[in-house]
Amino acid sequence: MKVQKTIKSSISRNLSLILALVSFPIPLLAQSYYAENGTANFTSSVPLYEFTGTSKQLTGLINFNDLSVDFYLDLETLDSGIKKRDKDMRLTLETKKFPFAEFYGSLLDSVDLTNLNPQKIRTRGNFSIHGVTREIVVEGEITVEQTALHLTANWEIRLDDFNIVPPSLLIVKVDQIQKVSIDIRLDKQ
Amino acid sequence: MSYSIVMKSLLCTAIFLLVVESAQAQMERKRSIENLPDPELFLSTSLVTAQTVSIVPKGEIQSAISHSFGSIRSGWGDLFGLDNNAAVHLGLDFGIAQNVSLGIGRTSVDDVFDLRFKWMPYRQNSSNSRPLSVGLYVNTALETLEERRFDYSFTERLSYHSSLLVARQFGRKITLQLSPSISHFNTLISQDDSPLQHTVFSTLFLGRLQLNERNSLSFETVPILLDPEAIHHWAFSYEIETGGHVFQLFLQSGYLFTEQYIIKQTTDSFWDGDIRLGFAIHRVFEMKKK
Repeated sequence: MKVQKTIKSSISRNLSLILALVSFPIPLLAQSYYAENGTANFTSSVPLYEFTGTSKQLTGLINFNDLSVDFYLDLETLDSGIKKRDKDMRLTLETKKFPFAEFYGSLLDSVDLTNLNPQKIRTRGNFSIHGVTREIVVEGEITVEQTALHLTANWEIRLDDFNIVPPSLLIVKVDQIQKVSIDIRLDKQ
Repeated sequence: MSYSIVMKSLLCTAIFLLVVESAQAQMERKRSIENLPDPELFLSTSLVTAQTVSIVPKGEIQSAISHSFGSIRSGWGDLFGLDNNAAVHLGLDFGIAQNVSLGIGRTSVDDVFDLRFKWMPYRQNSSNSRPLSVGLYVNTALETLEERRFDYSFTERLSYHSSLLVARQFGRKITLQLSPSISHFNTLISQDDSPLQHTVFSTLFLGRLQLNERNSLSFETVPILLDPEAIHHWAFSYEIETGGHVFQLFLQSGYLFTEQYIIKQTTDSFWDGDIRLGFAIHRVFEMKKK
């Protein structure tokens, strides 16, 4: 009876360990940085005027184990300061159908995690919005902090590259070029 | 022996899964906003004349220009009223607090300035825990036109209107609103000896059919209570929302843009063909840029 009990408890302990390993794979082995309160800005222009949709719910993960970079944003959280314009952005981006803007790629440059000065980095990956995915290279700046990474990046997209048809105001049209910027502090996992 | 082999295999599998998952570390996408947005009962804060339960959000300003032409009865000679007496209303509404707006406007006919206040404390939501939108609207109008026959004091030039706004969206397409109202003119002029009714009770009735996310058909009418001979104002509007603007193209019987004037001074009957073409543009701005 005692032997059986020991074996059972050993099986149970090992199974728990296996389950734990499978359930929490990323933080255990990889040196990764994660946040879900980053800022993302989408800036559009019409003649003589510019407006920005801002969200403070950008989620991001940088994993130095495999050099992967993964960011996504729920586009329904974009706030331009005017509710009617927010609604218009949601309709234009068809957020019911395509709720996320996302980037998934790899770091092209190495990051020295002991260097506290800002470091220029490049990432190559797939940027998806409005159901269309295109490969882009994004340049940014990363600053290593004690237990975090501060990342900023800017890039531009052409709306027609992503099949986005901006609304027109009589004869005034929204510029095809949209500026995207992110600013996020990722905590070490 | 078998136990040891099984455990080793399971551990190897777990480590393999771990490595694979680490190598494919794309995160699961989670929605930040789970709830449906509250229904938008009307596209704009007013239809042709009548105020709706929609309100300018806090921190925003709405400018509105409304324009109505002459009767289409005039035919080709006056291009179906487009050449004729236009009435123009300019308005600015400020979202001064959550669910509270204050507005000022001017109608070109009779040089009427209006000051208006709307309070929408109870608004229909998507979960249906609040099935109706209920609010209050009041305005005061000042007629500043110089009148050669009489010398009016300031208070004699004033008129008032108050409405209880009650509306509900049925499904996602149809909205109906009832606005029991009371209007009062301090001064009325009679051309004969008929008695004048300074205070009028009415119920504004509004409706909207959403054609799609950006286009709607709407109507408004004002059944006037206790006066069977009163001519009721009717208006039908086609609305387009784009880029923060709402454009309205409408046909209406009355041609003024303040509720008490529409109620008291509509003399044309829509159903007898006294119809005017008109349009309005609503545009929203931020009070303070972020």
